[in-house]
Amino acid sequence: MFKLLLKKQLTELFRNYFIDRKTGKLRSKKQIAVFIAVFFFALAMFSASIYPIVQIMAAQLVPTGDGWLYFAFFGALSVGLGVFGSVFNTYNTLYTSKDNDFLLSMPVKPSVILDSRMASAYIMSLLFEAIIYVPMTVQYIAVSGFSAAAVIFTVLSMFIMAFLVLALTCLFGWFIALISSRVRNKSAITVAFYVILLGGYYYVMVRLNSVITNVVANTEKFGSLFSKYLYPLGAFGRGCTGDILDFLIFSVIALGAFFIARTVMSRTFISLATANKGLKKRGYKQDDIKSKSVSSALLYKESRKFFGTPLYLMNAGTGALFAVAASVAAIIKADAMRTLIDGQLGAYKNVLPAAAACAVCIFFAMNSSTASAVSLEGKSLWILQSMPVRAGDALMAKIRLEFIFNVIPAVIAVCSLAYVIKAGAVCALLMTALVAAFILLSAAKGLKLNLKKPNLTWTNEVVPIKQDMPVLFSMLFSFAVILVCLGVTFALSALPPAVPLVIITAGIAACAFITLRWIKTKGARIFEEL
Amino acid sequence: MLRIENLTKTYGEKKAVDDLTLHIMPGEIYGFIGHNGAGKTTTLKCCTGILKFDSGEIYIDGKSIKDDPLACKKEIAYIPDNPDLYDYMSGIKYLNFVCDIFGVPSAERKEKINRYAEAFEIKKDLGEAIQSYSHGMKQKLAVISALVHSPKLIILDEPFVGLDPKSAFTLKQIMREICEGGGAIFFSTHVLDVAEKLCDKIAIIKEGRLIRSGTMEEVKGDSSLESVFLELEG
Repeated sequence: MFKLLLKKQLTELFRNYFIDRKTGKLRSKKQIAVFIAVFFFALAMFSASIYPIVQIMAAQLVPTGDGWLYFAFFGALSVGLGVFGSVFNTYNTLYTSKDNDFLLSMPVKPSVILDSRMASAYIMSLLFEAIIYVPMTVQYIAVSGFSAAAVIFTVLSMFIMAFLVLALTCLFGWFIALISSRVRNKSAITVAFYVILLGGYYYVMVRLNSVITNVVANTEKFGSLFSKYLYPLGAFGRGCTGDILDFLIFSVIALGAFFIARTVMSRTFISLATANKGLKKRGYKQDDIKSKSVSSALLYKESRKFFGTPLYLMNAGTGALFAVAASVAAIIKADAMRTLIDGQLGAYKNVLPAAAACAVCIFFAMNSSTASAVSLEGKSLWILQSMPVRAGDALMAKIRLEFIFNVIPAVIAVCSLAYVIKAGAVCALLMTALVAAFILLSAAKGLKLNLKKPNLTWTNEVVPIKQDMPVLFSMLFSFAVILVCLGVTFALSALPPAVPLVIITAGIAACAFITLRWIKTKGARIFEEL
Repeated sequence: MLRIENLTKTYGEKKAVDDLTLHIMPGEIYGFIGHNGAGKTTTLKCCTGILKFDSGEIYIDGKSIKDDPLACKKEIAYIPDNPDLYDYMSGIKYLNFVCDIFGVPSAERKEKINRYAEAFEIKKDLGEAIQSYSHGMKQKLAVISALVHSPKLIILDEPFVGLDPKSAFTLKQIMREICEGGGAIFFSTHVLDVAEKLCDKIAIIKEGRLIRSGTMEEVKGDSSLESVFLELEG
């Protein structure tokens, strides 16, 4: 039974990669290979972004015999990334699946349902782990030379570490579910929890450079920290370098934590998965009945979905939050940044405005709400299809929401960077236009991808929001656009700063216009026929 | 009010609806019966513009659903057999949304929402998120959303499933009132007793083809609708 349920979970997770939803038939081998390659390419991109840090740490710690500290440090980082990346995924997978009631009504032990869901969450944890593990292991071998023992222990510890991450995410997920079952506003609780987690993550990321410097300069101090207070990670680090006893100790701790988490959850799974608060009923006031135009009503509908679904808001809104946080940090550190620019980037002054605008675009490349907006219509798609609404207008409402949500943080981010680099009014305006055009293109492309690969049959919103192909492809597309823009910027570095800005903005705007035309014509027809 | 002319709809190689012709006049309650998979829902979805069809024509109040879908959709309301509504909205927000799309003036929507919410005894729940509604409450909300914009034609797929007896009675009364006011109702059902008592005309569909239609007397004669249906379905 466990195998059957796990197969169902995995089918839902990876169905898009193997099955063409339009025809319901297996994709060709070539298509499957391309989709899988793109998926692993995306993971490799994330890994590559970690690589510079890995290089520094390995070069400093491994030759001095502190390889275990190197592993312990990145082990801590992978736990942080794993928990941050998959806690809400785990919570939703476990407790908010639409088929929970159905499965609980069948002759299946609740613990088997729980185990199959946890196994699916385990695979997601493993993927997050791999983002750090792969560069960490590769660089260790590059510096210390190949050692079969180190490779075997590192690979084994990755699978075991994923249990520790799963235990932590399950406990956090259980905690959110427990609180949510006792309050009316689940969204507020989830978002509050997310903001706390995000704050912690951001705090660590901002301080990462100084933490690395500190670790490298004070290996004894951090060594004792990992040995005394973060013992499991210390044991993990020593285990990765080939210490069998520490490897076993770490394994017992990680697997023990997992079994404790599973025990706690299995006792409360049914009550939390079927929680019904039974609070006092709430009527409505006459003031609640207000008229809006059709386009405002469609925008309102999209915004209710966006702000009323914590996972959706978190997945497609975090970039905007980062952009504002980065803007504040840039203004606070303006003098230091100017010194850095004058000292090291003096030769590139002409490209600074366009490069800064591209940097702002990075925050919004992660913010595609449109990439899952069509799929999220799910089984309520009939409402829009049976109403006197043009499909093009319904689709444009999805784009307008993404644009409106992102453009204000984008303007704040551009203004702060323009202030830091002393860009001047014209360049600041052009930078704003570039970022605005990018957000529009990103929204349009996300929607186009979702129209081409819609998923209306999900049983858990995690799938269309976080795991479906359009979300991944949309993000990759946006990053590719940024890379092209940076290439153009540097190719035109001999020209005045406004020139690359104008050319890039015009290029992005033209692409956005073409994509919007596609959405209003062909896309609208696809939407009508879904 | 609704003219279906030689409608044919296929899914792959399977003909779900085959050359179906039906005319529904203002003031009529038209029942649509057939076994599971006979093509009832497909026909209803074609009439509402949700599904494209291969050949034939559908006219709503003289306008073609193919050529002028928006004008047609303004005149109709549709309730599917299992209404999945916007779970993330409250009941009142959903009704407001529907009124906005159909351009119902504020005063009129207030009056209608209050009237129908009271009739279906759901007024105290309208501030709640739809997510927390039972199946029956969702069905009531879907019915109210179909009524608030005063459609000329209401298309319902199994409208009584999930409704409590009192709400089912209220719905039947409202259906009759709408027809007395010049509107028309086209609905599918498996409850033959309800069809027999409520409908002015009836159509029986089998494997996508219309096998009998007409007034209740024409269809059933002296026997019961149930025995006619079972005989025709063979």
